[in-house]
Amino acid sequence: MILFKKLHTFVFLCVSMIIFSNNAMANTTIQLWHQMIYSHREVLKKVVDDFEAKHPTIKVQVTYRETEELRSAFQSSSMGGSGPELIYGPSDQVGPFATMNLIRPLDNLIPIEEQKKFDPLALVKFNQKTYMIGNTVGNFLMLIYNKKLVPNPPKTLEELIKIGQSLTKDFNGDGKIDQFGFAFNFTEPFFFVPWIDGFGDHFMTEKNQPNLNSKAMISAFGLMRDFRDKYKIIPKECDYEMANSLFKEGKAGMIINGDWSWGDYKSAKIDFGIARFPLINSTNLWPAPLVGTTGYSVNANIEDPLKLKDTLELLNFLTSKETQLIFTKEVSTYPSRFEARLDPLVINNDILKEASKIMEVGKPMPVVPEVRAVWDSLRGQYQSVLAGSATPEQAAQKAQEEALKQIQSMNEELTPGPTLYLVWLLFAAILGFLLFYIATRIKKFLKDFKGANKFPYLMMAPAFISIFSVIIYPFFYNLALSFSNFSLKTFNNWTLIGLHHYQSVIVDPKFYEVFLKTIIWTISNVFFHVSIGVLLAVIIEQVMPKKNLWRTLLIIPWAVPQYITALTWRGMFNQEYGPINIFLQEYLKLSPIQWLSQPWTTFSACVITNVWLGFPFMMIVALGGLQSISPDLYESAKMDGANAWQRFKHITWPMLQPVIRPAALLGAIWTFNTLNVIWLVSNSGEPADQTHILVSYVYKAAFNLYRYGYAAALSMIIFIILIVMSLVVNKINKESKESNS
Amino acid sequence: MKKSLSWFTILLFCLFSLFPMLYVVSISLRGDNAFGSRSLALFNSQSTLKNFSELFLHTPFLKWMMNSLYVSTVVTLSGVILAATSGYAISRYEFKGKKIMLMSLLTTQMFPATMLMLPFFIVLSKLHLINKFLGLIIIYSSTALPFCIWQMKGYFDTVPKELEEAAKLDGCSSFQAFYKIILPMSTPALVITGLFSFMSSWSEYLVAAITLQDPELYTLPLGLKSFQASLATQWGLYAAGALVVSIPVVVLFIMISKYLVSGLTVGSVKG
Amino acid sequence: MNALELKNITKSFGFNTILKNVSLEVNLGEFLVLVGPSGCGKSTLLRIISGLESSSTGEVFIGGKNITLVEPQNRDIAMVFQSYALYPHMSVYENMEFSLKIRKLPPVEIRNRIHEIADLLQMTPLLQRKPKDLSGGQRQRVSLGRALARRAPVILFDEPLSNLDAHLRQQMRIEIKKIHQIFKSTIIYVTHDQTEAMTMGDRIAVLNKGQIEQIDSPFNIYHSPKNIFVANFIGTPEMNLLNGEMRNNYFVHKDFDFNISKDISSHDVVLGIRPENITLSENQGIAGTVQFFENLGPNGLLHVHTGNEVIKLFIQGQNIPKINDKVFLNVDQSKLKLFDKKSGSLIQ
Repeated sequence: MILFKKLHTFVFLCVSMIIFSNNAMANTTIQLWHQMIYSHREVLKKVVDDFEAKHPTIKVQVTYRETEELRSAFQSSSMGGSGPELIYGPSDQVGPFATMNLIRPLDNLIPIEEQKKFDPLALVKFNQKTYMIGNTVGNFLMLIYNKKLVPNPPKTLEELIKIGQSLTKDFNGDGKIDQFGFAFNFTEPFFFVPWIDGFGDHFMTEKNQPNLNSKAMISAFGLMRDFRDKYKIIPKECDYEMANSLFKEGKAGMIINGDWSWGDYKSAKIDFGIARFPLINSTNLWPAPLVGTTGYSVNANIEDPLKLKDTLELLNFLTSKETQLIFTKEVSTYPSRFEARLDPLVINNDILKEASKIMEVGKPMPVVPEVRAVWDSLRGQYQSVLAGSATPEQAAQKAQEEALKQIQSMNEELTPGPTLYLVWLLFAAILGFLLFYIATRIKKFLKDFKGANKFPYLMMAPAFISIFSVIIYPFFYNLALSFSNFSLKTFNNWTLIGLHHYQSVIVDPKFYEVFLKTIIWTISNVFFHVSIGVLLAVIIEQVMPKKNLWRTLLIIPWAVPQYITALTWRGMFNQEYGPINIFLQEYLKLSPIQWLSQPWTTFSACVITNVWLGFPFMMIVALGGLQSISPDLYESAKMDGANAWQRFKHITWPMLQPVIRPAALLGAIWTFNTLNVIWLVSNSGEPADQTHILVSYVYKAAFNLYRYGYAAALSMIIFIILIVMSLVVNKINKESKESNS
Repeated sequence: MKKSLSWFTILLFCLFSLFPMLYVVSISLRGDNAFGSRSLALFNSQSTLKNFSELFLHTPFLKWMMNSLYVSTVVTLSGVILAATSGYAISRYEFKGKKIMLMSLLTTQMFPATMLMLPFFIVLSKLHLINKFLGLIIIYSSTALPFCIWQMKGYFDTVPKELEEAAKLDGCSSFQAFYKIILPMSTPALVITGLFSFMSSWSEYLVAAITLQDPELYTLPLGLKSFQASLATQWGLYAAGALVVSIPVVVLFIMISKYLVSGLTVGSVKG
Repeated sequence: MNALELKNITKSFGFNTILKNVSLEVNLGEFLVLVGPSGCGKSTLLRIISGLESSSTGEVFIGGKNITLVEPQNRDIAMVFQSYALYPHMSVYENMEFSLKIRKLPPVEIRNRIHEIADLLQMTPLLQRKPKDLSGGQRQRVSLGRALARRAPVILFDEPLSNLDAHLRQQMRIEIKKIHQIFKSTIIYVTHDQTEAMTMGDRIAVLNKGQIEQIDSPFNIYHSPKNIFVANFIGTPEMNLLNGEMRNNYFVHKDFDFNISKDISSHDVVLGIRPENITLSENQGIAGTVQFFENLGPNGLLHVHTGNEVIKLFIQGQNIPKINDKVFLNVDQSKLKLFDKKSGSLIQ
């Protein structure tokens, strides 16, 4: 009894400590999630502090999330019925969020007269309702040039190529280019689509349907390839980071980047100018950057009217003229309020003046959810063109097909099918089995519990209760989802539909392709983990002096957090600046490998990273196993005349089996299920979604394509595959054990 | 010949295992334009500790560190205690349902993370545990538990039964025998198990990202990730942060590496 | 009053019966040895006494109290394990102190007891060491000391000497016996080594296949075994056992026969005679050839081949027959035992 009391107090203390530790003094707390880049964040912080000072009863909690995470986190938190009151992000979030009813229309919250004070581009509409108010207009791409290298910006494509070629130089004659004329994140469709308009077509139709299979698209594909291969004015492999740092270091004359980067370049003390994309000579058309806005939307879940009032208060403050001008002053954004644009801060700003000219040729950023499917299929095919695995014509056609298919699967609202009965049958069977099982065992169990084994049951109870309560619910929830039509359109009213998703997984050839890749991934990883681990363990144990030193050095990869490892290796594999290629070139005189732009090299890069991560574990396991082998065995083998290899083959390896096998099985399961490495090293499956294993494929389906039901079914299939796999492995182990003994 | 080949292999792999961390060190020392450099040299004349001072003086890094430390410590303690008690029961006693329990432990390892993420969130928000460390702690400790239990069970299997029997005859109850005799002599396994719990929560990102929304509550991985905006990563800061995050774990690992070999018994599990 | 009493103890695992209806009484201060081949159930019996295992049926009494259902920790029994079971994380002193602390003895008393035992076992210098720093013999001493410090009314020994080398084993035997004489505690000692049983026990219980074959003083066990099993198991070298038949006061063997002045009806018997009860004679008795001679120091063991049988006997002195010599054996009629072949039990 006393123990119970003590426990009670303890639990109470813990809980209250946790609750009170973040209890705010203010009356309302408003959460604001945003994806502003570093320099903008600082300004936002100042503005919010100012707001809090003026409204002492309101506390604002500002949370930064990277764009994609902002989206998926907002989705899942809204599903849980909560989420931030205000969310700040790019306009293309509006479509999906509005479809899912996660954000509310602003028309009856903000009067029409007030709305009219904003640039229409900043009022993001979906189905004729306003869902977002932008505090800046822009978010568009343009040509940015370093005035030191490029005194006058190119007007036309020909000029751009000419300037680019004259600036692309190898100063020290080592065969590697030290300065580029031009650089941009050309593998990303967002940076690519403006060029399409230069060839006379847009990538979406008026009706927001994909328009990817066009002549203009094919020409634009060709141009990008030519930049790299024919004119050689851009780096061979160039992601955003690369392009950005080249430009900041003055190693690239021109860059395509957005208005968000100005502040960054300013603080890097680059004297830069901005200009339109160059005119395409052959068509006499301007490429059209997408102009959008980033702005605030209001969560649909707010029920408390007082909270809504405070939220609007904050929204008004954040989109007020004063706030917009602070942003303009600090980070040179282009305000969305007309009256703010009359301020000397804007009028006297050359860059902003130029920016408004650039925007004249821009096209509005599409906000419909379908655009996601367009980006996704375009990215894949575009990257295939760059990798040389598809011709522009093939790619354009395929991109269009895929986009249509994805849009269809995104928008399909599945209805209950005949297999629903099977699902009910399955549920009934599970329930029946459980009941039967419990009914038959409960008596024995209770007898056991009351009798001799009370102690072990009590010892296990806390751990198993916590495991099951955390795991069981998600499992059944996921099971239900996998039989449901849960997706973008049915976000709030999903129902069970049957085995549809399982059927579509099983007939999808892509599934088998990814499955095969997962198997190759798992086998190659486990093979290298075990062979390297055992090799090192044997050498350390049997040959080396100072065992502890080597062991310590070699377990370091195990200790480093996975996400750090993954991002570090991604950096190391960079074609231009990654130490791996530098090493290959400088010391081995090999040509650099385009690690991250070809499917199989990317896959190998992931394997290398994961091998690095996993071999220490096996090494330690093997070291433990080696210590239990009696030295007598080696001595007697030596006397029998066995050489080192024979000793390994006939003594070490067989004796290590009982230790290595279970560890390898566990390792295989982990490797099969690991998300971090693939996701972060290949940057979510690049190139062209060809670097997926099942788990990352699911992750993508769920959080990027809103196909929750499908993703849940796939998760279940992965789970079943693993169960079958381990049962088979166990059986093989048992049989070999029996045949040994 | 054999000797030199061995030396060569070991040195090669030491380079392999150390290099990425050295690379992070060199980036963290590079100052502003951290990423673009074509030199393999670790240091040069422009090396600076600017990123580190920035990290500690101008970002809430210390706060995040305290948060991570708090969460990881609680998870480690509860994880070790729960894993030890149940691992012991499984290792020592025969009872109804033991086989099922062992199987279900292994089975939990087979759930793809993607399957659990969304339901976790829904459960936590229903229980009002979003934005609370408690929610994170519950999830971390329960997801780390299966492996920890398996690991503790493996160790207890190697402890002779006579010790508890002696303890019982010396007058201990079953529980006293466990915590006065078996627990104190299981230091290697406890340390290893604790290390695993600690590591898993020290570096976990996905769950933390959905449950913690208040930057005041960020754990290190979340904070670190916030240096990494989609279009403007603060590479220098990130590298400095990554280093500071990794060092405690690496040091911990090195300190207890002598226990690793004797305490890690996953491999010797009798199936 | 008995120190310990077992009543009809039966233990079975599934269909496998380890102990069959074992009853046993141990007197206060007695040194009882349970001896038997491996698998005979002797260790299980010991564990049932200690409470570490429960019997399927039957009852255990200590000091007249029925403790069948009492948990081991409440039985007040000390035990010395074969593997010593020293707590590896505690020093020798702490190992000895542990149970006394659990039982909440006053600290002064604890210290006195430990030092008394340590002096007695000459292990005072070891008190601060950890078990891993001790030799096998020292560990064995510590585990003995730990049990003694308890001053438990009953101390159980589970093959405590089997991990020691022959020399140490002999030393420890004597030491344990001496200690028993000092402390007069009731000891139940399990071993598979009949020499140990003979040298140490006040009484010996011979177990076979889950049953007590005979329980008696070492002298009686040796000299009047109740059946073939006991006769064969006790004594090194073992008793000569000759299969034969009784016909009109004649023991008839394939190779020989001789008159036995005992009135026994004719049927198949086994004749048992210990090697020390056979002597060489000049020209009469059982004829055979010398096959082998084992030199044991003070005496020797002669193996004599009689055609179908090898008979062993002790001889002394200088006149050792050579291999292949023809010899005659004389059997001490008063010492021979006759067992019924079918039941194995002693006929007379």
